[in-house]
Amino acid sequence: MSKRLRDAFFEVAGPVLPVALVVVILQLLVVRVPGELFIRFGIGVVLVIVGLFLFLVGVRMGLIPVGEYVGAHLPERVPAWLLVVVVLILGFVATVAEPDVRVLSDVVDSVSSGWLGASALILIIGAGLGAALAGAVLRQIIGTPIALIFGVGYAIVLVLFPFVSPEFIAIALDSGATTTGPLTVPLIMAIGLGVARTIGKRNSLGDGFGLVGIASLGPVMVLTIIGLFA
Amino acid sequence: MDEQSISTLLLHTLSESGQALGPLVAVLALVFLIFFRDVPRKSLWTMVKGMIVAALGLTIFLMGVRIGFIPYAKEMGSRLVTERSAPVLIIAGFVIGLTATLAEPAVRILAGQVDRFSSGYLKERTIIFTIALGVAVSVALNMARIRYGIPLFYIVGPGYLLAVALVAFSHSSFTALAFDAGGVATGPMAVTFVMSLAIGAASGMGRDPATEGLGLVALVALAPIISMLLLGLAYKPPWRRERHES
Repeated sequence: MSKRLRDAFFEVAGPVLPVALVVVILQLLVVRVPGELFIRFGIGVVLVIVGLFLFLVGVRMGLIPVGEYVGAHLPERVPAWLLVVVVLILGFVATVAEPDVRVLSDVVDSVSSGWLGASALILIIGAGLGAALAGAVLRQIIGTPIALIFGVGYAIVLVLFPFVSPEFIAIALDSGATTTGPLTVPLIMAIGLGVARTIGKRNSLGDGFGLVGIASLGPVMVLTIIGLFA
Repeated sequence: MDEQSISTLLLHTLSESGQALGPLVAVLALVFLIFFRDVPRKSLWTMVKGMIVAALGLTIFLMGVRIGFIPYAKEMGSRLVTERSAPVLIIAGFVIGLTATLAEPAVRILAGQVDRFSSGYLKERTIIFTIALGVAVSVALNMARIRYGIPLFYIVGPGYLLAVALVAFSHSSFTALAFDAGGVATGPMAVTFVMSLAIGAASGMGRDPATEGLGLVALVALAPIISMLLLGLAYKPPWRRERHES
């Protein structure tokens, strides 16, 4: 096994296996879930590890190099406004492909009573992330301090929350948190660092990092605003 | 689960994976064809091959989550609240949160970066433990929230206010790192297993699983932000040699 394959395997098995072990201990000592479900959990552990492994390998083979290339070279080749547009679209399609987002919308769809189906939620999260990512790139170009963005962004969300149903608050916050998965994070980082390198002459730590945080603020804001009218 | 429903689920999941990854491939291919005409077509072909492997992987992952993780975790959550006392539920949440984060590679990668950027002033182990402790407390808090029916907003509201207040006293680079820490803590285990556990616990308590069960991922993302910002306060600046201009 090459080093890259081994890394990807440990990356996937790392968080899954210890939790599975805790679950087995809980099953034996604390609660007895029916055997059939326990066997299905075991099958699930194998499928999740194999599936995420293949996903990571495929994404790293085909997608991340491309994302890095685009991130590094696109800022030199296109005017700033076009860069923002491309980032917006890329953020959207990457979120639509993100495994975490799919599982979340599945679960939300299964428990929520409302009109918000799984596919609609995925599209909304994608649009929110795309917009926020475009905003984050714009911030890098303009040079707004990052604390101002976080402060104002979360302040707006907090002010709106009392007017939004508890169900929507939960969905909005959960959505923001799941957008940071194994597909979007590398892609976002690649684009962000590329832009920072081309445009930024300033503190590159403060500018390259924080992009993921801003990006996940987007879906929270969009869903909170939708929640106002729901 | 009989064979027919499994094969239906498989077909459904397979087409879902195609729909998930198709647009991304199309957009990237388009960007290349428009702006990077000079790049060899071979690298585009590698991208397509990689995406086929990724689509297969996504299908298998989603199957595993739907067949195994979600039904089992929901049942376990519901049994934990109905058959066991509150402390057992809360401790189980704490342990699961701690284990999942300590073993999460994304957390280790971020901690390693911080270690390097701070020239070893902030140790990798300190960061990993800070994030993991934050997550463990948040999962435990969420279980307590479900058990006693505390609205999510009562925890998230003050939590974000605290985070915003801490940001005012923190260095901008550290702020960025803290928010990224919130992002890396929500790995696939949090979204699939721990979230279903919370939803099962909520329905076991006879509460609305939508208002009470959701919100866990949000807390898991929030807690490390606060614990990292607190850590940043404990370490007096300059924790990193740099220019103060942004």
